[in-house]
Amino acid sequence: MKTDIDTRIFIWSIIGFFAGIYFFFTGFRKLWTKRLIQNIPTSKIRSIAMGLVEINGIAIPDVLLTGPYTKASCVFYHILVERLVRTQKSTQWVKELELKTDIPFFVKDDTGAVIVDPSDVETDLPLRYTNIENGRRYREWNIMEGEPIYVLGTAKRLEGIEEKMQKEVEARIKEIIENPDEKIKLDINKDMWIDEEEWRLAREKVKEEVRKEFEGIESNIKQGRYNIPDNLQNIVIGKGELDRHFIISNKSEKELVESYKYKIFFSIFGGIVLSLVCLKILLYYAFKIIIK
Amino acid sequence: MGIVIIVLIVFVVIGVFLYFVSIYNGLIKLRRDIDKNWSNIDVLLKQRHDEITKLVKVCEGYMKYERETLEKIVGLRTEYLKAGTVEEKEKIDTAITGALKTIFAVAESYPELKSNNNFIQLQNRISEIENMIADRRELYNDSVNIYNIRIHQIPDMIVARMLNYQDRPLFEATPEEKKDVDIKFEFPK
Repeated sequence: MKTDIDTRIFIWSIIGFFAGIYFFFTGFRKLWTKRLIQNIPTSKIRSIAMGLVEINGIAIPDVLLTGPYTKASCVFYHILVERLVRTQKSTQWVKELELKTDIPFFVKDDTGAVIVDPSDVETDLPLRYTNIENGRRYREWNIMEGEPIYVLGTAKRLEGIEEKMQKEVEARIKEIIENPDEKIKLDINKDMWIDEEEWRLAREKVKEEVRKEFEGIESNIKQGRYNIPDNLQNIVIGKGELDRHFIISNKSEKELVESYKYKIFFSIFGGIVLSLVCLKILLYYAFKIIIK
Repeated sequence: MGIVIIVLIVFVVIGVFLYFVSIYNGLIKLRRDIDKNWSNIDVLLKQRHDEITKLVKVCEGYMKYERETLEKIVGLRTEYLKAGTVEEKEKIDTAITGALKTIFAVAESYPELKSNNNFIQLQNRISEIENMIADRRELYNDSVNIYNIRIHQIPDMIVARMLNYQDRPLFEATPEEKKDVDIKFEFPK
């Protein structure tokens, strides 16, 4: 029995030693992020340039979402469902489901608005819901409609509406070519041959269909529903390909920097202490084995 | 105990090294950002120059008696394209902004020009670009200010001195821009 406990302590010490090293390096990664937040000045939305930018503004939905647990109107939510697993040796929460929405929303300041694509974002949001029911823990973090937020991400150019329409037309024509039932419908004069004129008419028809579908989207943008300046019509803020930093928080820059300070401190010094304590235990057991 | 102390020393050495690397990288990035922010202003200034060419063409037909003002702005535009340093560009940019203000003020005396759709569109476009230039100047100054503070703070100062980094100049308003606006009211007698 005693040997079993010794083995467990020994294994946990090895894990703890390497976890300490991991925390130590993670702390320095956080330090770099903190310095980045401090070093980047805040841009006004109407004049953001391509590349890594920092903006402040209020969150406005494109599609209004409802938090699954809070039932609050929001632009983004992150939910986590965990199940309590009890074994002879331990009790722990095991992740069952994690979901972060990736529906773009707008951020607006007094100069204009810009689209933010939250795919693959690192968030620092308050826990808005927590409940334990039938051995499961349900939690939700969200960005409420109209909430002031901080965004650090890469401003990049999206395809224009014309380019998207063109691609859609090409895709639909390809579908028609590949589907014999659809292709036969293009043969207007029933001569079993689709001539140049019939192809032209088919293309015009598809173009018209696509144009009508895109009309709604285009008019929303052109009407300036979200006060998007002309130069930002095709701009989105998201995760960059070169700079991977993409943070959204409902904290101000100052509060965010403060929270990073604590995380860095605990990560670096906690990591060192954890590694050293685990090393000491490891050495103690190694010494015991040698004596045996 | 000996091994634990050795590991602690290794942590401290790696920690100090990584800390200085993060300071060094941070300062390099700040300098690059300042250059990038200036380039972003330059892009807008070039866009404004294109609009100025169109504006001069529209105005020529109406403002026959303001040839001097129009020629001045065309001359400044050519000078800007030749300018090499940031300081030179900054000086010419201020002069262009002043000349534009004059054109828009003088245009008030030409009702036909004022109601010309092309002129209205160009005037709006130029004032839109002017606003964006003002925002980007502010952003440029913010990044210069962050950099100038950083290189005088400990521990960044140590790395900055090793690299011989000096203060960067801010984009400042000229004495003309700082002058009080002379407003004369002409009340009907």
